[in-house]
Amino acid sequence: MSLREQLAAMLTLRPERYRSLLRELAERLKKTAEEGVLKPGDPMPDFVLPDATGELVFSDDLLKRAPLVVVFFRGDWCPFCRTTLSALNEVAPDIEAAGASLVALTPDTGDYVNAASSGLGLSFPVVSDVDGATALRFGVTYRVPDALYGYWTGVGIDISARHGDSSHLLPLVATFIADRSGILRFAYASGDITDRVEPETILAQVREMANEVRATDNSC
Amino acid sequence: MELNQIKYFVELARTLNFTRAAEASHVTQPALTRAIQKLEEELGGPLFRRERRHTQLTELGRLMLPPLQRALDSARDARVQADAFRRRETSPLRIGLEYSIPTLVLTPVLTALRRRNSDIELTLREGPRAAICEQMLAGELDFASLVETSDLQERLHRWQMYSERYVLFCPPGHRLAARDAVSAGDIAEECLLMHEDAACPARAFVTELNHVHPTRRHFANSPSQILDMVQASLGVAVEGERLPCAAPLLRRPIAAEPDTRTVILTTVAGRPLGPTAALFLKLMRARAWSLDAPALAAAA
Repeated sequence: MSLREQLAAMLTLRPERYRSLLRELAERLKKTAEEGVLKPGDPMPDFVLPDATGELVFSDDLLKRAPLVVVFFRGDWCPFCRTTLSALNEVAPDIEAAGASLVALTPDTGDYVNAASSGLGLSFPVVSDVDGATALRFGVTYRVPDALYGYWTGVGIDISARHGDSSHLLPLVATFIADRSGILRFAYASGDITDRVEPETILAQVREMANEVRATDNSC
Repeated sequence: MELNQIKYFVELARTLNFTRAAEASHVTQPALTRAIQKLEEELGGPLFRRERRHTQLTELGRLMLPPLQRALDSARDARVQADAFRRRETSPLRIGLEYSIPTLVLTPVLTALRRRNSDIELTLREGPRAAICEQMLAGELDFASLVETSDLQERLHRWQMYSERYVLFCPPGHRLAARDAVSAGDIAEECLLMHEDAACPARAFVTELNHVHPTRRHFANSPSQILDMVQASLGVAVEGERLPCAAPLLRRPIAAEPDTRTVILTTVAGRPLGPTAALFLKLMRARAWSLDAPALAAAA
């Protein structure tokens, strides 16, 4: 079963009220996902962000092992994100074997960053996009509608506490792949939480990019 | 949501004048107005109330301004921060700690910064809350770690670091050492070692919150002096449980209400931070405080 099919199946188990709120959100974010998000050919915004182990991660360092896959997720509170991260973790060794690297960004802070990384046993770094500034530069930021925020707090998920601010900003679910020179070669963002890039697609992209680099290196 | 829309919003919030905000942003007024309208659509409501002569922030505008300002500053400074930090430009980092908050709670983050840049110029200052806050507002300190209270000044932005219990420190063999928990009455019968400044939160917890006034007391002006005296069996002490102590001192929970405190990190809202200070803040906000829990449990 593909990742999208898995996520779609998970969605059918959610209460109708929640599904309806998510449908409204996806509809509202269609324009955001089409207009503001960085596209292939754009330079990747650089970042310095703390990871789950309390170390600083520099995007420049990650790019030394490009292609670099950058994945935005909402937090480990989101079951759709957890399933996606676990699926990515399965292909992470293949991504690494292709000479590429992977980093996941969440707006969560504090213990929640480590919970995602350790809790899911991820082999790639999870970094905290403190203040959501990196998501903003990738053009994937949106504000959670009050009705959805209310729904989440009603089921015990307080994104304000998790983010350490009251802005209710989240990233679209988004995947970018940058090449060694820091140029984006792949970009996909969506307001639909089940609409994710298949891990196999990511793997195929990085393999193709890695092959191009090898071909260039061999021709010089 | 686009970076330019946020720039215009922040500028308009500063000037409260469409013409001046457009001039300062080097765009035409209609372009600025369109960008603000788009941002309002994205955020789900009006950010400004346009009256005949005046423009005012709405409640949503006031709510969104601080986080969007911070996100904009971070986004704008990301490259500068990374470059300056990499070039090892000396950038001071000045932190105040309210009495009873141990330096140890900062050291993992300071170590992580130092691993990346050994030229950090660090200043740590311990003191009473009022003096620490005053120094921060005067620009002498970048951050302060304080015990949370409801009367913190509005100009200070705050983030929760961790919550911890107050515990009793006593030497092994002490009459309270075998207790699962000690009461306020138990503490009143002891010789209590306290900070000489009544503003110390650990002292205030005993004397003001729990109304314990032991007849026998000794005073010192640092937690390490206090623990040295506990070590020498001169008395017992009440401190936050994250205060490091050398074995064989014991920590015993206190049966009091409340028995915990929350420690926060504060900075002056809207004040620009240098590269090192900005990265320190990110690391502090992402720190997994519960990772210290096993060490604390083992110490208890």
